[in-house]
Amino acid sequence: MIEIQGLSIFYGKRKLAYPDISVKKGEAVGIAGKSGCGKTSLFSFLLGELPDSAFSYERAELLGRDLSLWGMERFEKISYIPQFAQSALNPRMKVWEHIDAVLSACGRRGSGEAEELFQKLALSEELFSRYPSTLSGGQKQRIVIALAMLKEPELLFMDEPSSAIDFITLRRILEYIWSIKGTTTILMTAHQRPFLEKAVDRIVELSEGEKCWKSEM
Amino acid sequence: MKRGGKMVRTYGLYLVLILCISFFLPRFLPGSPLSVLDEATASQNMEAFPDTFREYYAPEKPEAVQFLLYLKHLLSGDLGYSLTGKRKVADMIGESLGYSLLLAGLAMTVSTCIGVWYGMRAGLKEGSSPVRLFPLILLQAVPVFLLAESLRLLFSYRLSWFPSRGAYSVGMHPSSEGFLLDVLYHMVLPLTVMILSEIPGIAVFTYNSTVRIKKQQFVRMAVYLNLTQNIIEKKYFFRNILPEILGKLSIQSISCVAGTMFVEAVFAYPGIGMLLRTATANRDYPLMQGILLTVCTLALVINAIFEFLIQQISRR
Amino acid sequence: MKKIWSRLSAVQRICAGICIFYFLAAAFGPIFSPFPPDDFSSPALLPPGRVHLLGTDEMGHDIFSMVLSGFRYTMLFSLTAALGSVSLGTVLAFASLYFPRIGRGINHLATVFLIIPDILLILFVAAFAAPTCTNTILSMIFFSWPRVFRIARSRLSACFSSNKVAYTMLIGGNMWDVIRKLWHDGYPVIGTLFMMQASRAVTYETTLAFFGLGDPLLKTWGRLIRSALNYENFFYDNTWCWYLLPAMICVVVYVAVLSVLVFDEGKV
Repeated sequence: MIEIQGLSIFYGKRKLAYPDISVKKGEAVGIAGKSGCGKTSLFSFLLGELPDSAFSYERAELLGRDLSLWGMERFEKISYIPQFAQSALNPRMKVWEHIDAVLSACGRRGSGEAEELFQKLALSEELFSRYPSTLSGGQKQRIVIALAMLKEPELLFMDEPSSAIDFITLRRILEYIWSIKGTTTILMTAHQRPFLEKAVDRIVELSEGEKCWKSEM
Repeated sequence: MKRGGKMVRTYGLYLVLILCISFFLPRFLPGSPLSVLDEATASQNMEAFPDTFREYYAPEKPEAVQFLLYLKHLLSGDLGYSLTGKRKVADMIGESLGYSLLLAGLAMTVSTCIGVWYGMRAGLKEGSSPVRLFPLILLQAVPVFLLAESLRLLFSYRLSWFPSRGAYSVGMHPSSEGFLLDVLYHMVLPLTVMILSEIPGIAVFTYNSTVRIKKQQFVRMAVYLNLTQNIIEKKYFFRNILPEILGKLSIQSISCVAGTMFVEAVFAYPGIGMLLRTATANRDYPLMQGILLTVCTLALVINAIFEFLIQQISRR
Repeated sequence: MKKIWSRLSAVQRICAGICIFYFLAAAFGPIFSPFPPDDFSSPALLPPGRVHLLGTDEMGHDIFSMVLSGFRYTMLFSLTAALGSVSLGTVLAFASLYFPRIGRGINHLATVFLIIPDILLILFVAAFAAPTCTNTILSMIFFSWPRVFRIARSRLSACFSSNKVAYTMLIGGNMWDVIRKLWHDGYPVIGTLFMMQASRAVTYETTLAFFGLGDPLLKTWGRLIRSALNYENFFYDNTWCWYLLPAMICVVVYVAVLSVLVFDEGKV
């Protein structure tokens, strides 16, 4: 699904070198590393948000195609759950409106998938008619995951799903990840090692010792 | 309901303040015939005014009594007697108000639609592009009466496409044939001027609001969720800028009313602006004061309506 | 100063340059004036020529000289009115936050003045009161401080609730300590407000002149525009090209340039 070799991302004078990353279909891969080591940058790169001058690679393929050939259509196949998931909901749209929006973008009418997802993530259907400002952080996080999965993506990117939420929500998210492992390919970053180890099949280390900070151009 | 009560109290306070301003302003201005600061010169100036003036204002009585008298007059709808028109001020204003509201209302509606549409389009475009707005900023820099005179020069006199004054042709009555068409024909130029002068403010504000929302994280999420452009524009952008836009429209409506008055003065359009022009030219104090009070009250009402709308929209 | 210059975009630098030009023209312009602006001994209604660069008006004044004198008056009006209203508005904004009880009262007062169209009040004052330059400037200051107040207050209130200031007040710091802390965050707003008010003052003056109010003896651009518009053949010949246009362009450019400088994308 994803093949990356020889990737480097540049930040002003700093250069971040990445190890080779390979994610097969159905795998759940975790990226571990200290904060600031380029975990989110990796996602930015994969999502096409970095300008051409900010990176260089030998090989980078997404679903068999070179990354540079992918445009906005990549979001039909990929779902990204950002680090800011808790401010990712439109404050002026009710939850069911979010669901409707995602479904109509996929060209599907709702037929219980949303309810199913909510149930799996331990979210009550009562939340459908609420505005995001009335929800807790943990609820918002899980709703964003639900919305992302509603698209039925082939790839799921999760950026630091374990930060800034309570232990119970963490547990529920973990259980959900276990339930979709195998059917959905997952790439996840986290700086909390224990969570990552429980969630994914294998871990790619971004920083070996001090490597991440030392590379200067 | 509690919020409603608070709003009523606040606006009641504002109304009182407006009445006070209307009452005290002429009395504290140096050189005014009602001035309490320099009573000698003031009473000298008073000699020039007819009895109706003195009766209405009663400057010989103490201030408190004057104020109560003023309130009493207002409650019975008496705004005094115009020095130039030799008629009741309330009547003169009553006849003209309709035209002004028509012009201002139409102008506001059209320029809001165009302004918001244009501002959002410009704001949604990739990257920031304030250069696109410079023609609007330039347009906004032209004082509205100059815009009016320039268009009048070009379209009425040089090209003779449109009439240069009045709301309808001489000799026409509301019952005449083609009256409505005639009124519309006469309205084209003043309306165009008003629209041109209101659009920049609204468009630039909408642009800024849109750009601000564009930077929000939930908008990025909409992209990640692969939502359609239509939904992003309607529900993400429009809904989020709406409260701010309403706030801006509230202020803009009032400056539109003021601008309409200037345009009317230029085109001799029979609205309040024409009254203002004659009043200032002839130092017709009662008429001016009546106009001031009317427009201020109108502004208060408009503001209250928008305030209410914003509150309704912001319920979450 | 260097820091401010480097933060401006290219367009804004051009605009700042134009502002400086206006200022210099106000300071030194009358030196280049071929005739005293109120000298009407020249033949009337001459088209532009070598002696009268922009021709003469119907009374015989040299139009070019009048345009030049306009720079001085414009600067006078806009700088003093801006200085006055920004000072008054900022001081009141600070007072309303530092003394919360009278703050509410001032806020209501400012809101009323914001709801009412300020140009109307200024017109009213100019019509009622003695038509002197001082009165015009005073009324501009008096009726436009609420706009400054509103913006300054919202900016200062964000600063007030910041930890720095809350701490200063907690440890019993006096007013001057708080002011010093606020100044650091607040001064960019003052610059913006100043330019905003300066451009509004010119629009006010021009509108007042149009209505025949304000001091009739001062040769401002507003007055020049009004005379041009009142000229009996205004609509029929081409006199407006050199009579109306120069003053009009001067006013429009000044206001537009200040608006561009004040324009801050994304700030509502």
